[in-house]
Amino acid sequence: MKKGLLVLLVMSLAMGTLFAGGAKEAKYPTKPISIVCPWAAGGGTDRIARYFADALAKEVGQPVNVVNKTGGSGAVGHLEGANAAPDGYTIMNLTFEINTLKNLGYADLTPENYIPLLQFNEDAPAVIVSANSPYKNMKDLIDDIKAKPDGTFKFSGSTIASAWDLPRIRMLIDAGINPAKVKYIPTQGAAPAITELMGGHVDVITCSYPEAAGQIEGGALKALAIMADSRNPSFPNVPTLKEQGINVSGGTWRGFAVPLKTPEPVVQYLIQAFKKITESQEYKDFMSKGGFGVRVRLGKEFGDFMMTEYRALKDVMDAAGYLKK
Amino acid sequence: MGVVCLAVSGVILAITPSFPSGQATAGLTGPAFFPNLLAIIYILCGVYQLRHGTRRAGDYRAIRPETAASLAADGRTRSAWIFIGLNAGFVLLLDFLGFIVATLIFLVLLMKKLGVTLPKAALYAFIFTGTIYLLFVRLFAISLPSGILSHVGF
Amino acid sequence: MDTILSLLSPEILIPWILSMVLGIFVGAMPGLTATMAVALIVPLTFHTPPIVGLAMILGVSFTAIFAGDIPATFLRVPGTPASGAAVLDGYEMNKQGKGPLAIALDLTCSTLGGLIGVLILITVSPILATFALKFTHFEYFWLAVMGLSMSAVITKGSTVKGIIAMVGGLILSTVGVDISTGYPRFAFGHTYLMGGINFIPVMIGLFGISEVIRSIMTTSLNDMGNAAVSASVKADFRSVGRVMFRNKRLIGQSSIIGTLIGALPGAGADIAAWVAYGMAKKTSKKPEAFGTGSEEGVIAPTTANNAALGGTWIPALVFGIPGDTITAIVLGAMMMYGLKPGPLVFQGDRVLVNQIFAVALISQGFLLVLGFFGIKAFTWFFKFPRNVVMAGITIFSIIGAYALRTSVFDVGLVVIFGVLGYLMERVTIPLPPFILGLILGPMIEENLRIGLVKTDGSFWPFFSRPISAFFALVLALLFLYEPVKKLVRRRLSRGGT
Repeated sequence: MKKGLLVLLVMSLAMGTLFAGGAKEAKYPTKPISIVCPWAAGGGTDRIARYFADALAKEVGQPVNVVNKTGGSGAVGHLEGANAAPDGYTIMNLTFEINTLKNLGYADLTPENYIPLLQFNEDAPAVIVSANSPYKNMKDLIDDIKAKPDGTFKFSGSTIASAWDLPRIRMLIDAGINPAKVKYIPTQGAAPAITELMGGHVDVITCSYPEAAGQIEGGALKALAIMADSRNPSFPNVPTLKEQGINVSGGTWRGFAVPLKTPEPVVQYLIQAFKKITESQEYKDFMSKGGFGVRVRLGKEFGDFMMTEYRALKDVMDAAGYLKK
Repeated sequence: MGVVCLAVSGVILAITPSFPSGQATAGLTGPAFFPNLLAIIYILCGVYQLRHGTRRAGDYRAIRPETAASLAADGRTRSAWIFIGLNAGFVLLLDFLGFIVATLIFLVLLMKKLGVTLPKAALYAFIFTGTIYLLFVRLFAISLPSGILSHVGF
Repeated sequence: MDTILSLLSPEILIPWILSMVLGIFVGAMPGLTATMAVALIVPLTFHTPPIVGLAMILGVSFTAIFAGDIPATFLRVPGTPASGAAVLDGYEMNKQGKGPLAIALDLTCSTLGGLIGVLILITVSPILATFALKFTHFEYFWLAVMGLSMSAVITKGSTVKGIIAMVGGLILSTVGVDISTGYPRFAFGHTYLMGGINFIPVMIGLFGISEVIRSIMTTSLNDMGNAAVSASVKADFRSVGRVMFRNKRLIGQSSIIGTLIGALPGAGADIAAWVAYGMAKKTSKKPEAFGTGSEEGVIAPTTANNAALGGTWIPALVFGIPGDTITAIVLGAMMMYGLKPGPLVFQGDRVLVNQIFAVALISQGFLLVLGFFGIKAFTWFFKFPRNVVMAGITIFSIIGAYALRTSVFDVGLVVIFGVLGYLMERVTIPLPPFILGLILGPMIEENLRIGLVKTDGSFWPFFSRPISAFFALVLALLFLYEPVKKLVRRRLSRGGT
C-alpha cells in the first residue's frame, strides 16, 4: 500500500516539474502572489500591506495574499523575504528594521539582499510630552535635560534600536547631549509608551504624531516637534526640529522589494503596477485616514536611500552602544 | 530528573557570561541576571531530586503497571514512536511538499497505523484536508505552504 | 432604548451574527487566537459604517474566547491562549463523562462573565481607567509574581516538581531578543530562536499532542475503531442552573478579577483566567477537588476570560490606550473609520459609545444561542471512530500552530513539546506551572529589570508605592495566612491541654 503512495508522490513531483517548465514561457503573473509582512496581523504595516494586496490583485488579475512572518524584531520576515524563490511571486514588505538587523546581530541582512521596487511611506516621529509639563518648545526641553543630573531624565517610545528610538539618539547627539545621560525605558511599541507618559512614569516619548493624536487632541499630551524636513499639513501647528535649531530629520519608512535574481521584466512590471496604485487618490485617502505619510521613491532611488540610511544608522547605533561588534 | 536539572543549569551558566551588561549601572539588571537566577534554582532542585527522588520512588511506580501492560501488548510503544516520527517527517517535508500533499500523506499513513482501512483512511484524509483548506485558505485567507504544487497554480 | 433599536437593522445584524459564527470556528481551532480572528475581520470592516465594524469585532472576540473552551474541555487542546486554565478541570470532568455539564457551564458562565464585565465597563470605566494608569513596571511585576504564585496553588503532589516545571517555563521564556538590551539570548545565531518561543504552540504540544501520544499508548488497537465518545455528547443544561446558583459568589469574584486584570493595559484574558482559577482554589471550601474535575475549577477561568474582554475596553474607550492585543487592533481600525480613538470618543460621540455598550450587551445573548449550536457542531466530530478523531486533532493542531505565524518552526515546537509533555506526565511533573512560567516569564523579568533601571537599582519603589505595597501584602497573606494559622492553632491547642 505504501508503494501506491510512493507512486503518487513521484507522480505529483513529476507533474510539478513538468508544469514548471511550461510556466516559464507563460506571461507573469499566472498564479497567486504573496506579500511577506514581517509584523503581526492587525498592526500598521499589516494594514497597509493588505490594502496593497487588494489593489495589486485588481491591477494584475491574480489573487494577492499577505503572509505574516513575525518574530525577532522583524528578522524572521525579512529573512523569509530574502530567501524566497526569485520568481516574482513573493514580494517582501521591507520596513525600517532592515537597516538595523545586521548591526544588532539578528540576521545577516542589509538592503542589498533585495531588489528594491519602491518605497511608499515615510513617517517622522514627534517629540511628545505631558500637557501639564513646563516645556513649551524644544529649547526648554533640551535645557532641562542638560540641567538635570545624569540618569534622571526618562525617555520612552518603543523597543531598543527601533524607528522611534534611533532618531531620538540622533536628536540628542545633535543637541550636544550624550545619549547615555538620559534613560531609555524600552516598551513593546508606541501604545505602552503613551500609557507610561500619561501615567507620569516617563518624561518624554518619541512616536509618530497620529499614534498619539487622540491623546494630544484630547488635551492630555502635547507635541513639541516632529523630526521631518517640513511641517505636516495634517497637523500644521507642530514645528519641525530643524526650525528649532536641531538639524535632524528622519524616521520610519516602508517599501516593497523582491529577492535578488528576480527577472528584470518582472521587476519592471511590479514597479509599474505599484506606481499606479500609489498615484491613485484612493491610496492617498487610505493613508491619510490611517495616519500614515506618503512618500514614493522608485527602484534605484529607493535602494540608494536605504543604503544611505543604513550607513548613517550604523554610526547612530554605535554611539548608542547597540552595535554588535 | 535531578541530573537533567543540573545539566540545564550548567548550560545556562556556561552561556550567560557572554551576555553584554546593558545600559544598567547595576550588574543586577543585565540580561544575564534572570537566567543565572533560574539556573541557581535549578541546581537546588536538581540536588534535592537526586537526594530525595530515589527514596520516594513511589511517584514513579504509580504508572508502572500501565507501562508494563502497554509494552507487553500489541506494540503500542512502536505506534507512539511511529506517531512521533510521522509528525517529525511532516514538519521537515511541509515546506517542500506543500500543505496539501504533505497532509494527505501524513493522514493516510497515520490512520493506517491506527487501524483504519485504507479506503476509509483516504476518504477521511481528503475530508480533513479539504476542510482545512476551505477554512484556512478560503475563509481566513491564511496562506499555507504550496510546495511542489505551486508550479500548477495552487 | 433608541440605541438598541438603531442596531436592529439587517445591515448591522447580518454581519454581526456572521462574524460571531466565525468567532466560534476560529476560537475552537487550536492555534488560531481571538486576536487573529479580529485581525482577519478588520480589513472587511473598512467599507462599512463604524458601528457595523465594531459590532463585528466585539462579536467575534466574545465568541472566540468562549469557543476556545470547547476543544479544551473535550480534547485537552486549548483553542485560544485564554483557555489554558480551562483545560485543567474541564477535561477531567469530560473524562468522568461529565463533559456535557462542563461545556454547558462554560457557555453560561462565559455569557454571565461577559455580561458582568460589560456592566462594569459601562458603569465605572472612568475611575478604573484612571486607576489602571497608576500601574507601571513595579505594579506589573507584582501582578506577574501573583500570577506565577498560582502555580504553587494549583500544583498537586511534590512542590519541588512544581518548581522544576515552573522554572523550566521561565528558562524557556528567556530565549530570544532581550527587551532592555536588544541582545539575542540563547539564540545561537538562529533567526527563528531570536523571535522567542511562542507559548501557543508549546501549549498545544504539551496538552494536546501529549494526550494523543498517551491515548496511543493506552488504547488497544481493537478499541481504536470505536466511536471516540460512546455516549451522546449533548450540552447538559438541566443541572446548570443549580450548579451556577451554588457558585454565585465564585462567578461574581471571577468576573471582577477578570474585568480588573483586563482593564490593565499590560495584562489580558489569559492571565485573568489563571489568576481567577488560582484564587478560586484558594477561596474554595473544597480545594482538594481542583484538578480532578471540580465545577468551581471550570467556572472560574471561563467566567474570568470573558469578563476580561469587557475590561480591555475600559482604557481603550477612556484614554485610547489598548487594554490588550485585540483592542490594539480595534484602535487602529477606528482610525480607518475616521474616528479619533482617545478621550475624544467619550467627550464627543456619545451615540457611538452607547451603541458600543449596547452591542457588547446584546452580543452576550447571541453568544448563548450561537455557542449552543457551536457545541452541537463540534460534538458531531466525536461520532467518528477514535483513531480518525486522533488523526484529526493532530492535523488541526499542527496546521493551527503553523497558521499562527505561518511558521514551520512553530510546528516543530508543537511536536517537540508534545513528546516533552508526555514525558513530563510520565515522571509526574505537572504541566500548568510550566505554561505559567513561559507566559509570565517575560512579564516578570521585563518589569523587574526595567523597574530597576528606572530606580538605578533600588528595590524600594517595589514596596513603597501604594499599589505595589498592597500587592506585596496580598501575596504575603495568601501564602503566610495558612501556615501561620496552623501554627497559632497548634500553639493554642497545646496551651489548652
